[in-house]
Amino acid sequence: MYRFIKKLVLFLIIITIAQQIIWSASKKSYYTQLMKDVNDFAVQKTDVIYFGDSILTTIDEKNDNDKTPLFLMVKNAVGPYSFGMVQRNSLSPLIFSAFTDYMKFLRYTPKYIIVPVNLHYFSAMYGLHPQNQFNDERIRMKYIVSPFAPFADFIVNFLVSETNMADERKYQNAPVYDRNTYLGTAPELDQYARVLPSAQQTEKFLIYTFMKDIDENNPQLKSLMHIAETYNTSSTKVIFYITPVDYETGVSHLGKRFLNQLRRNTDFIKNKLETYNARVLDFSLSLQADSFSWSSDVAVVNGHINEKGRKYLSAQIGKEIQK
Amino acid sequence: MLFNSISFFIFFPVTTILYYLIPHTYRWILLLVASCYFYAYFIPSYLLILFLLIGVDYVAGRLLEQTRGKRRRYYLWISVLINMGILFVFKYFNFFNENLEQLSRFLGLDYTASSLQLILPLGLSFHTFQSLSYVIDVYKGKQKAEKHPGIYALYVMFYPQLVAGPIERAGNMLHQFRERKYFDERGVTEGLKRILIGLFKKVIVADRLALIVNHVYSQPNQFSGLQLSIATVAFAFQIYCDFSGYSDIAIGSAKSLGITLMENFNYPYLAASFQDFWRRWHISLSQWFRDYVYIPLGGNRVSTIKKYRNILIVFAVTGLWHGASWTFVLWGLLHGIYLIISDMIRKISPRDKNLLFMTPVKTVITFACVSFAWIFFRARTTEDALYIVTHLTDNLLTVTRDVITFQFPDVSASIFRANGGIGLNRTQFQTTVGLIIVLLGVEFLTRNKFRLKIPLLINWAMYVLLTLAILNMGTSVIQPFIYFQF
Repeated sequence: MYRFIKKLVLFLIIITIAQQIIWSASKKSYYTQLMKDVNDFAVQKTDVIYFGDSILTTIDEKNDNDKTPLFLMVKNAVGPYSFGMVQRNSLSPLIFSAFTDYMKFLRYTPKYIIVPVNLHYFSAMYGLHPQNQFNDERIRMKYIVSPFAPFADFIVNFLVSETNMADERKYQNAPVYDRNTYLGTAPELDQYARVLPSAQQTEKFLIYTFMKDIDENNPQLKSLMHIAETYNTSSTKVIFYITPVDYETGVSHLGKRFLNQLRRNTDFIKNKLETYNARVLDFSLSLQADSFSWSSDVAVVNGHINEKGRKYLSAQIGKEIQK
Repeated sequence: MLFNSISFFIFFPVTTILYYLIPHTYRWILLLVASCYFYAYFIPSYLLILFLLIGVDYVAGRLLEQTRGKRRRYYLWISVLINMGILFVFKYFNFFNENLEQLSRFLGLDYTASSLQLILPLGLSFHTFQSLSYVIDVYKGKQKAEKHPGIYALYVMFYPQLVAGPIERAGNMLHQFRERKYFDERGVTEGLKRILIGLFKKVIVADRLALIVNHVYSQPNQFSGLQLSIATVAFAFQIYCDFSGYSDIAIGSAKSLGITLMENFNYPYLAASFQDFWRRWHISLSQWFRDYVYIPLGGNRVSTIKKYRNILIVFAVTGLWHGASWTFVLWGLLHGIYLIISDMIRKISPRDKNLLFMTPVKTVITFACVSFAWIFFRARTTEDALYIVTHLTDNLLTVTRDVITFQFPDVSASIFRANGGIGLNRTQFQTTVGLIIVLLGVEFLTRNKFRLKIPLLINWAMYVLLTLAILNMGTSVIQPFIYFQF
């Protein structure tokens, strides 16, 4: 047995040394594109970082005269500050939080970080759908900054597989209730975001997305609180903003109940974030239905805004930064 | 728990070390607890189903041994019905129900199918068959009933082969759990090497090929005949590397504990006939069907028509075992037809004595036919499968002309750029092909090491490189083991 243990230890030493050499020579390939972007921002000491999802870049509305996407409008609105964006479709606070930890590891402290708080984040689509957990990127960022960095690729590949499997199982069976009425499973209701839904389906989708009480155990909220806590005593100013919601459409389907629930959830989020002295702008009821954009293949109330909405939002964010 | 997970990399050494540290008398308890933990890692509540089946078959085995006369048959049938009943409910009920609904619609009757929302317990098909083989062998007097409930439970639940085989026989396994196992350096080393090879096959080769297969098979009508053909051959290697990789890890894990599991694959794509293929592919399953379905139906010892009937039944059921879908049944029937045709040809044409060149030709033909059948296995629907089958040779003349006239850039463009490509770019594809060649070389060396006398340095270098490949060349899109769905 001792001979076996000696051989095994020797084998592991050879592997560790070889892997260290490979890691040193090919470090860059371990980073995702967004991580490389953040590395660049850190080197350039970019002043403003804007986290976001598809709302920052997508122009849905064919009738817009000004087709400038939201992130460019915000960039123009922030004045002389240098500007960077950490954006990809469906990104959420889970990944924003991982990026703030990564930026902390890089000792990168931008002047401002803008973090959207889209109420969609708190539905099962973002909370449970495996594709929206970004396990690969989050685990990669966690291990690349640890002593296990040379083995980050291996750890990611092997950790992600079972994490994704567990997430998939939870998501496939997640029931959705409207109070005590069973509406279906999360995957069934998520379909309504892909096809033009009927009035009944729109109603179910609205309930699924907006009507659940957000509580402090919600992982997305915890991620937002982590961001707020990280920069609480830092020179970096974090501007959270609750994204506009097409409340008029919501009320037309669900009545006052929709407004009441919206206010309950937004107040809860604001209270939690403000305990860390975070600045929270609430645009949830700022825009009317004519500021939202529609695509023929996405559901209503997806949060995408048209030219009018983008101009309003970018002006407000710019004003906040220029204050 | 997945074999390709960090949890397993902690679970495996801990279990193995404890196994050799504790006295032999208690080892079965350790393995049983470890196996329960391994299985419960997925969905703990499904342990109850496993315990139910273990309880039923343990009792059935004891009763079968103690009873004489007609009653023995009742005990056998009760065990078979409970095992197959549970399998039916979890795996086949919805399929049966949907077909019944379609049939009733066709007949103008009013029947609406309501489906059961049940997740198939992992490995149900495997351990059901393993349990049934035990009960049937006890009934036939080939196997003594196991008196120790813990040892019997371990036979069913032994973690290396619990979820995706090999489907073991009681005669091979039960005595091994009783034998005192001493730490054997060679055995443990061989086991670890086997695990490395299995991980390489799965993580490096199979998951890479999956990128092509998933991309093309998700929307086959978007791709050309050449791309469909490449994806089909890619799947042939994907499923081989995925499943044999899993078996390697299972066999290696067991070997590290001093337990020998049966081989499940033996270079199946070197088969020069369909009979030979089924002696090399998923050996444990084909032997199970041979012993418990084909031979009881009469096997070869009946008229030719009945023999062919038996073959079709066995392979239709083999297809159905893989999944509750007509595509799997079609896959199985196709193999049955292959065997029937090759049997007919053997009867008609004289034996090809000493025609050495015939073996490679027959190997290529067998591989092509097997790959063709994989289309039905992999396609999402029957419609997709039929589309692929009828479009495989689209633009075949153009491609042939380009190859003959050395217009390789055109061939390359038609693979990697046409229709958005096949999911891997040219460099990635070439790397994958290179890795398959490396894999075949490693397999050849490891299986022939005693004949070839590989120098120690070369041996070490091979495994160091394999490990480094696993550490650095895995894809970030990990696919579940294909056979987990069965």
